[in-house]
Amino acid sequence: MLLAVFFAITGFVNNRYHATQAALGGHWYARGVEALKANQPLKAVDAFHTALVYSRDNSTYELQLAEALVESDRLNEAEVYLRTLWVREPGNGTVNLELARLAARSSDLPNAIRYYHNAVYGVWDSDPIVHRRETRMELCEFLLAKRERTQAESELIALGANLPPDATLHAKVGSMFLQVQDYPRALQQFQQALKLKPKVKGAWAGAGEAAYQAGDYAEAYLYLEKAVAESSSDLQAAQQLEMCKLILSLDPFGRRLSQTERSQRTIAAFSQALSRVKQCTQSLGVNLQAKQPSTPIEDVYAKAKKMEPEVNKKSLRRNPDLISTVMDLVFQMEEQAEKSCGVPPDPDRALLMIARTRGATER
Amino acid sequence: MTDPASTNTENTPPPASNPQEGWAAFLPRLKKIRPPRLFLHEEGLFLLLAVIIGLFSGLAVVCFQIAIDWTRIRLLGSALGPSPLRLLLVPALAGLGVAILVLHVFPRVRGSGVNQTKAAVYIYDGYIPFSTVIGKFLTCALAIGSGQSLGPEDPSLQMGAGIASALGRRLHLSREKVRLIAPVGAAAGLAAAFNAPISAVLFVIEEVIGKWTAGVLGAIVLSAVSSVMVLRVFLGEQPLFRVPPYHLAHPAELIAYAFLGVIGGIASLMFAKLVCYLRPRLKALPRWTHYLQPAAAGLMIGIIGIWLPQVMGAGYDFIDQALHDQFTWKLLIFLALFKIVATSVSFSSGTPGGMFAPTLFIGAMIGGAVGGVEHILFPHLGGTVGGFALVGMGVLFAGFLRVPMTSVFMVLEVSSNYSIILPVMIANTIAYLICLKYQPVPIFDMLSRQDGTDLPSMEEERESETLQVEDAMRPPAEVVLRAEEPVTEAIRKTSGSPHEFFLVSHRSGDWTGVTKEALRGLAKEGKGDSPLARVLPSKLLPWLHPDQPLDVALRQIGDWPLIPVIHRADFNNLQGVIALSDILAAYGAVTDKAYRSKVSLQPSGQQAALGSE
Repeated sequence: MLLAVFFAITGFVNNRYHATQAALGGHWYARGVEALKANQPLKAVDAFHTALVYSRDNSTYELQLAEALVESDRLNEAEVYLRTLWVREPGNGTVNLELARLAARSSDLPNAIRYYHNAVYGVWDSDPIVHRRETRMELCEFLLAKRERTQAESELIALGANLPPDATLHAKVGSMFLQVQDYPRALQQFQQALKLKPKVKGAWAGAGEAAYQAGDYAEAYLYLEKAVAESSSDLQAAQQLEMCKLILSLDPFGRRLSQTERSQRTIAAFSQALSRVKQCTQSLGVNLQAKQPSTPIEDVYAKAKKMEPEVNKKSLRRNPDLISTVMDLVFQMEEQAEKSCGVPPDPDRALLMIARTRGATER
Repeated sequence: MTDPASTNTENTPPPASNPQEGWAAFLPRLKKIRPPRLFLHEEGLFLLLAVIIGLFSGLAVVCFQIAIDWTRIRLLGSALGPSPLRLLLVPALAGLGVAILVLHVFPRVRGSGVNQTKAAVYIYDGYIPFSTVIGKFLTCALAIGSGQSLGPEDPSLQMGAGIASALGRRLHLSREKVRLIAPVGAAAGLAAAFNAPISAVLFVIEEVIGKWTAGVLGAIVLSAVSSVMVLRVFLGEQPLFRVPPYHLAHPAELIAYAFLGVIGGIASLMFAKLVCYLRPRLKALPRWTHYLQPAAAGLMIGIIGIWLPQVMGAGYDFIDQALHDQFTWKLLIFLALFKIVATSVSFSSGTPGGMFAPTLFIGAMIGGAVGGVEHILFPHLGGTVGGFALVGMGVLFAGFLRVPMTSVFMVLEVSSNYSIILPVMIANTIAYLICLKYQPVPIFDMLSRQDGTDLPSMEEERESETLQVEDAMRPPAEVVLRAEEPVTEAIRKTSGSPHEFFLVSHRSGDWTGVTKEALRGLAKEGKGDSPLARVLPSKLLPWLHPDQPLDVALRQIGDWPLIPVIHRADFNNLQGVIALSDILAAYGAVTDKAYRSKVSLQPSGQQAALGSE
């Protein structure tokens, strides 16, 4: 009987006690959140610590405390809290994300990737799809910052495949693909973004750059023209547009060109490349009259001199296949001049870009 | 305290065994018998009572912990760092209140509670007045809640013992059982306070009872488990501390743990010496100062608390933070040092409260500091500060409280991690040995001696040399007779010996004895040619082995002038002989040695008293 009475009294006292504890925990938690909002992380840390005294294993409080600790630059303490939470809930998306961020801050690449992946595949209390996508996006940004292009590309492919119809997101992913130099996928993302919302910021320029880098100068021209029209202050787009114009005006392999036009462009390119080689060798003090060419640039110059009599409208008209042979020599001359004398002027650069695009296409 | 009438009723025969009396005669007697006694023997009742004690103790500890927390929130506020004004006023005023309560209402609640429980067991036949339970509850809740640097575990232990004692008396248990039931309650109280039943059981056995007996162990385990169960029902499953995951990162880390053992041992010594120095001196001050001492201690702790609020109260939340590497190693050292000072002052001022929590606090801080330094000096080892803090707790437990077994199991139980066993064993052993060397008398024994009581010291019992038969036996007698020998031959062999009694060895491995006079008598009776085996009385001598405890020899020797000490694998191989005089001489030598050592350990005033004795 006495025991039952004692149980009842203790139960009553205990209920009141827990209610008070919960109220105090909530009160200090709210103060901590306010302090965090007011950018007072130290005050927030104290408040969250106090909240945890009254509700010791409250994961929300612990997470907030960890965030406040991170804000206060007390990373070790934050990590300890997060690790404790992780041991309790290894599949918790938020905890894994915070741990990933900590690992990322300390440039711990393997752990950061591990925790980011845990977070991507982890359990989220609300909006799991959004959280997973944002986490993967963060992981991609981290990998790009760490120049881990291959890993970043594989994450981006997974990310790009599951994007909602959101133009901004597509554009963002597109620019990330640009950073990993996956230009076709970047172009796809920008095209998707433009399809959803033609005025999305940076999408025209991004698409233009993607096409430009992929060597599709005709398409790049179209996008870049719109990008410059949209934002005249975009110098990169303007420069690329100019280069596109130049390439399209110089390229003898362009579509819908008459035979005469092709021949003229080939002769102009040959002449341009030959003069570039001459200038280059002069600046290097190389004697081009030597009987035995000893360097690659001398060798290519010798070949060009040998071919020069054939490079005229008549020969090219008679033998259209000669255009390819001449242009191959043009590309060799430009490449050797670039190797020996560095960055060429714009027309020569245009020829080089045509050469690379053509090389890539042939490959 | 034992009611002889009540114990007699247990032996009352049932009606069937006494048919002459019949139901009419039995009914009035039945009314006098309490129902439980009708169905349960005292042994069964004892175990059931252990569970009930556990439940009561668990409930009491739940209320006690709530009371401490409630007092803290009411007096110091809910913030972790109270305002300076509160810090200066609250512990001092509460100290004054506690002093008045202790001096006028509950004079028995002074101290931690461990020695008081031991005193109840060994001096007062398990008697602890229930007013002590109430007094301990109120004064400790006020003292610890107001920030005095003391813990709730030892008071919980005493409250459990007090509840057990009261229940035992209420149920009219025998004196022996009432004496045994106090440790059962103590284990229940401590288990609930610690939320760790194994550690509580071990502590009570290691420090209070000092021996393992199946009957008491069962009751202690039952009470500890039931009290922890109650605690978990009300306050939840979570352990006292959230222990971070631990693994031994590198075997070289064990060196750092050994270093922690050394530092922890030194800190334990400092702590023990300070308490032993301050307590008698403050106690010897005029009585009116006893009203002010807890208040002064409170004021001092409040002043410390302005800069280091972590030092106030039991400090579990800060132990938790130390376990999670949330303090710098420099701050941890400061916290450990100031906690030693604060606890010594609080305890010595006569404020009731326990030493367990402060010990754990100091250990965690020292461990954390050592871990922090290791982290800086040898970052490649990759050890966790939390692991060091955890081991540090065990180290202080082993060094200061001098309970080596409990200290190891406490860490294991709290951490639920077996891989920490190596560091714990190394560090605890080192700390324990350092303290054993430089503070031969454990703190609880020293405190009891300061209070003028000489309670049995479990450590001294453990460490005392156990006399064995080989320590007292003499070399084999020069003349040993064989049972096949004729009497005349035996007379010839013994004629030149100065001894009167001779051992006779039988082929079977048995031994008998014979005197010279008996041999001569047999010869006169004309039995000179008969073998000894045929003519000697068949009463065999008891025998001993050299490794048996000497008290076995004392029990065996009876009226025999001497008995053989034989080899365990060859019963005819005589290793020595032992007589009563040999046994007494061996005991006498040890008693002399112990007395001399005791006199040398007493404070000078008591030495004179002992000398005059």
